[in-house]
Amino acid sequence: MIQVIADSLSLGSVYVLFALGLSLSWSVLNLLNLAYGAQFMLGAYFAYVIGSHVDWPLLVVLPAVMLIVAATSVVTDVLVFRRLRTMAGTPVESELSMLVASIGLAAVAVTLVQHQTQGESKFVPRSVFQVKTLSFGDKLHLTNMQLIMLIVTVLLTIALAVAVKWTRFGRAMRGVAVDPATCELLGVNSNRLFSTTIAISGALAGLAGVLLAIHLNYVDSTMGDPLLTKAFAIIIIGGVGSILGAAVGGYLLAFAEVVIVAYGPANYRDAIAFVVILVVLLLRPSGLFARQRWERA
Amino acid sequence: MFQYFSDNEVLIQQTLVYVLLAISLQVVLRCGVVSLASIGFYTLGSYASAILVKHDWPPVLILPLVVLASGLVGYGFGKPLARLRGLYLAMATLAFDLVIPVLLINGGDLTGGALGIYAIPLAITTGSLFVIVVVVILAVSQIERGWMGRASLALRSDENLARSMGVRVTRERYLAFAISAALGGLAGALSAMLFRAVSPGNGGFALITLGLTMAIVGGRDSWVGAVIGAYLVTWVPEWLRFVGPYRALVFGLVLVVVILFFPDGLLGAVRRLFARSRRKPAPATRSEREAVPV
Repeated sequence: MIQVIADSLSLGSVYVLFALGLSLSWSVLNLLNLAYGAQFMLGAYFAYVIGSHVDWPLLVVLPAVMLIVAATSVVTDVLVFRRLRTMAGTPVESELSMLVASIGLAAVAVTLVQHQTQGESKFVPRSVFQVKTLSFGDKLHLTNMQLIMLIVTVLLTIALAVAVKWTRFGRAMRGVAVDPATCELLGVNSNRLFSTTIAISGALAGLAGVLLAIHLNYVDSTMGDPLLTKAFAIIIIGGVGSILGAAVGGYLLAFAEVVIVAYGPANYRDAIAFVVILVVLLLRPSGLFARQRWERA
Repeated sequence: MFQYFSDNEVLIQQTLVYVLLAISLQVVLRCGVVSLASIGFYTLGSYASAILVKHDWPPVLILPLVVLASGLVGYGFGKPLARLRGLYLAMATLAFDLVIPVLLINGGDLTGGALGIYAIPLAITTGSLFVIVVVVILAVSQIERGWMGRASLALRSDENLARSMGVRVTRERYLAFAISAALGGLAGALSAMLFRAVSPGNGGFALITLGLTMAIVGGRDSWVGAVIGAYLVTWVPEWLRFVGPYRALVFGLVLVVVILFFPDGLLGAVRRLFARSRRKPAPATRSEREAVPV
């Protein structure tokens, strides 16, 4: 049982990192970014590319990959999403067109990587990170990667929560999420803020991609797709834009999955996320931890 | 002429099936309801029809059955989903699309696991497929022109306004859901009968990209757009053979470019061009029409 808890804590960490970025761009930009799974995959892929060319350690590779993925997301924001935000008349229209554009972008990224890897699955070279198993007594075995995933996630989640709650940037971000026009009048550069948000979300996706790729020893062009459903479930549990909610949701989902793999029909692990989405949406559509939110007409 | 048909029969069948799939997405998108559920119903319909055909059921029975069943399930789905708006709805229906392959892989002998079902007897001719598509298009074009079409346009622009004008918003939503699901199921059932194999890999993300490309590139405001979209998606890879491995990439790029520069789709772009060349004031584009100061 203690092993199950430890495994779900480490797996859940990656889920939390991944879901946080998606939740952030949804709450601030009204963007359901379906290219997010592709960004996760790009993170893993760039770690593989960097690792197979130079002998950099994880401590260098991680920031490099996060920077690259963040840069790609800023480019897509400037070229595509910014235009779509201003072009469409109604919020519903712009949500739909951004959603569709993100599907197109995902197809582009996935096909490119698929071609580069000839459809084979790769792995991040050992020179980047050497996975070792640490044993704590007889009952508990963890890899050093699992520990890193847990620590990185806890630190980053707290940092993000603090930033959103107490900094000037965080206040502006929450303000823009509610009413960009008024924030502009108050001197917030909303376009820059949107780009920053999307960069942070991209960096989180890339980070999660590298960590999970090393943990599972596996890089593949379609590795982001299953995670997307999981992130949906996590956001639904936690409520859009809630950092604490995403953390709780991520660990809960991971726990449920680890339990079903350990004791139940393991094949149905990917269906849990869907069941969660359905049940929560039916019983409590605003999420388990959502604050009161009123609709703007 | 006959030679041409027999040479390209598979492509023609493919186009016709895709027309149905594209229309099934348009029906909901037109009401401003971002539901992708019909992709899931396509996959479900294809499996249902594959299994029934293998059990020697006559297609005349299978098709109405699949349409009715998907329509009813879609209507039932509409009940809980009608409370969801915008992105929540998109997400829930997307999750529905993505979970179906998982369930099918785990379906045991009934669904054939990861391999799917193959060697399905050919159960329908191109002629009857054509008739079905024409009937659907006629029905949909009547809906578009009629009261429901105007109601769904109102619904898309402003839900509260539509409600105040006497549009029964919730009922319209259920109906759109049910029609979309029924058409998705029908397209899936036909595809299994024509192409004689179904596999869980056919559903999921690739099909969503494909379906949305078809529904949007042509123009989502009319069934003509669906026909254009389905035609392009099927035939362009044939004309540009070198595209082959980059098919999905090209679709993705086209999708982004069209969304950015032709929000009304190719049909809308052509219409505007015509209006301009006749030196009449161009009909307002969607963005102009809705850019009313609030």
